[in-house]
Amino acid sequence: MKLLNLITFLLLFILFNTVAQSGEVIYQAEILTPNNKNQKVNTEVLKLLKSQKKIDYKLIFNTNKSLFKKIKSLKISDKKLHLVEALAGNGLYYFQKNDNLVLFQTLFSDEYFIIKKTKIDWVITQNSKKIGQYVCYEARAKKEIETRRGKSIRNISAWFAPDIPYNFGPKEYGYLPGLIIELKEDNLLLKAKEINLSNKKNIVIRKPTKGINVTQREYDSIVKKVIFNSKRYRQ
Amino acid sequence: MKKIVLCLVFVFASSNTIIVNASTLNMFDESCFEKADRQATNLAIWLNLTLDEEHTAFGVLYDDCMGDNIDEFVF
Repeated sequence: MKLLNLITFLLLFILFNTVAQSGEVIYQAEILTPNNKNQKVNTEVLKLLKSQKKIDYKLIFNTNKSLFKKIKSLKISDKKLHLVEALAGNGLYYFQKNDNLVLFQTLFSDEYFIIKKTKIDWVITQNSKKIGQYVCYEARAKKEIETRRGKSIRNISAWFAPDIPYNFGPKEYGYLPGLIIELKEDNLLLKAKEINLSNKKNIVIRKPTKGINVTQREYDSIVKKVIFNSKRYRQ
Repeated sequence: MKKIVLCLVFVFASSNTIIVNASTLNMFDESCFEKADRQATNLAIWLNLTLDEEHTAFGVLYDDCMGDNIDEFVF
């Protein structure tokens, strides 16, 4: 009996020590061309979208926190912004699971802002598919956004892998029972192309501090004010 | 009769030339600011862009059009 207890203890010890404590995921972001058959897509828009390159983003995480941002390119030609970054973000997303905290640090009009994001209400569907070696399940959500034409709804579809028990994902998305492997946010597609899990415990993730703390609504009104006062709209 | 036909042909040919010239002029007359504005507006509709995403897209398109010689401050 003592031997059985010892074996059980040893097995549990090995199991806990081999479970990954941190990880790194490389996502590739691209803009999908609209495929609404009822509406004819402007040929210029189509040409513009087809010429866009894919951009790599990195998600790093430990058991409680994650950071998501664009991978800096060393090529001079890649120093300028691309259209994909307008959608995938050109800032830093910070996720703190225990406190239900999601922040987005971004630069707008020469000023840094830290926007507190609201939690997404997911609906987990029965749809499943295999992405690489992982069986993934689909979760869907809707998000209200502020556009130039007024309020609009953004459709989100996330494929998560319960085999990777981390509640993180690209951008502000997470809180699903597994790591998000693929995410579609309207016409933006983010696909994991590299997943590295490690059992290092000391991966340090720091909360962004540089910037004015605002809610999404406050940020939207600042953006509105700046944009509608710019030359583009004053004409 | 011959004269009338010739006159009609002449009028038709010159009006076509004027139309072609006008459209060519329109295309080439469009400044980077106008081009980026038009493209960003179209993109915003097709991609359901938020205000700041559209603003960033406008900046990207404007920079793309201007190349490296950005000497006009627009924002």
